[in-house]
Amino acid sequence: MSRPWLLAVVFLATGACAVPVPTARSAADYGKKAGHTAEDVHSAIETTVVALDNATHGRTLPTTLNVVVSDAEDDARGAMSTFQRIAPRGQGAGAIHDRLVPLLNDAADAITRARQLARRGQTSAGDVEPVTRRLAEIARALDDFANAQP
Amino acid sequence: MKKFLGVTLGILTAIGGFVDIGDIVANAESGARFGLALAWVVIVGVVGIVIYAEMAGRVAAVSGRATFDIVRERLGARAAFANLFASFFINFLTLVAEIAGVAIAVQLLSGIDYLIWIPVAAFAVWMVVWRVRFESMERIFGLLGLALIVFAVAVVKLGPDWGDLLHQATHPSVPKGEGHPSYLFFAIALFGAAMTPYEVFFFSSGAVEEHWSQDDLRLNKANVYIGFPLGGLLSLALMAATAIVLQPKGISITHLSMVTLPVMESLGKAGLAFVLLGIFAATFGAALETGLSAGYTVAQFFGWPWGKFVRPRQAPRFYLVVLGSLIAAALVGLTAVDPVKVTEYSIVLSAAALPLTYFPLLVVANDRDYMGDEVNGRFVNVVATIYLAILLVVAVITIPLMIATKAGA
Repeated sequence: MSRPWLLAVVFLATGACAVPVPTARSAADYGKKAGHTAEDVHSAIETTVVALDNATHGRTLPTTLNVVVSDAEDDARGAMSTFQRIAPRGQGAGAIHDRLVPLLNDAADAITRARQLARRGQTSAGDVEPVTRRLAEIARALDDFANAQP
Repeated sequence: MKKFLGVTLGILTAIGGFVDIGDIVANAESGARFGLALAWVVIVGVVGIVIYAEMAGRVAAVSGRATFDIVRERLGARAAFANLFASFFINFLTLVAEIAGVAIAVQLLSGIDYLIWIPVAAFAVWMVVWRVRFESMERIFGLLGLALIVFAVAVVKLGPDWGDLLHQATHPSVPKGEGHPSYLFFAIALFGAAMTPYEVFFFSSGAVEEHWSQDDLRLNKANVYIGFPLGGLLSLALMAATAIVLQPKGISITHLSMVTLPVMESLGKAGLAFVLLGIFAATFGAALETGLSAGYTVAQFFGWPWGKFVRPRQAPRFYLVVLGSLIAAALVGLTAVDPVKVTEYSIVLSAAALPLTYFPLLVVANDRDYMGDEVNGRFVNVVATIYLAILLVVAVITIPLMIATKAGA
């Protein structure tokens, strides 16, 4: 294989393995991305709440509940990890970061707690109620946060 | 009963075409984000696929040859190769997603990670291709896929505001928080999903497998006019179910598992059992369709013996392509690539390649050397030409739109 071809192959192979780093061009752009992240995690929380509610009322199978909540947890942690890779840029971006990241951490932890309950089959109203209450609080905070963004 | 069973080819093709993993997720996501504002796209897609699938079935019945076979002969090797290249690649992506879809359906029931089920699913698909008669295959999976009617039952049981749903469908508007580019992207994805090329390849090859002749033109029409609208109805029911239950809560569909939520809410465990059965059958049926279509297109292009109606020993290269595609699809699936993303890309890329499939079909269906008196009528030609123009516009804007909207994100 000639040298230019070899270089092209190496370049393409390296490019294929690279994970693109998300960026924000300005504080407004950062705020917009933060808003989208809040909406994504809000969606994961609501998914968990609906799934737990169905489990409490005996409307789902334990295996299906487990998969739904695990998928929601993956979504929440995935959205959080993507957001944390974006460098805050511009005035005010730091404040957005400091307000959102604790909410994202709380959301991921609460969904993990829900997954643990689902895994153990602890889906009675008494077991689930503290977790769903916490999830609802975080969902409201995320909603407020998302609405405040551009 | 015999007449009903006669339309199972159309039902299986339509279930694969309208409610395979890609369509299930695309329809559910559209409902959750846009309500019924994209319902019109499903109807436009149903009319388009009905026009072209009827043409493909008629060509197969009159000439005794499948669409790809005739395209190769009528338009020459170069044009057919472009079609083969695009169709085979898109079909392969779809096969990857369908095998993963079967595995996820089993995971939802068993709780065991879907990656473990991928090789099992690929092997099971191969065994059915290898051992089960074509007619039995289409009847079993076509009819089991009808379990997805549970979405329509769930919608009725949820007792929605029918006036509001009708208003959403007849006065489509982009909801607050969503952009017009994303709306357009989802419209194209739904349209591409409804008119996926493998549907006509599978349908016409299936007609040849079943030895259709000119006497079966009525059966062709029955298959098309019952099967595809039924598939469209299932799509609309899925869209409505997520629009009612998930949209008000701001839930966005990112996994196949989330599609089960509206039915759980409405019908409980019994409904869930039907959903799991329906998803399993629809994705398994679509895996059979795409696996066989891989063999059909390649064998028909090269002029090899093909089909389940001949013994494997008489068509070894056809079976080898199917087996190779299944093994490769399972290997790609085992890399843990997100099946939902794979299928979303496959339906969007398929939208970009649609004219390559449908233009040659229109040419052949108007050629008296092949079709005799059964060439297209004027009405069919007018509608098919309008659709071809739409397909060309869709093909041009699809890829730029996908990049601009980050695939509808």
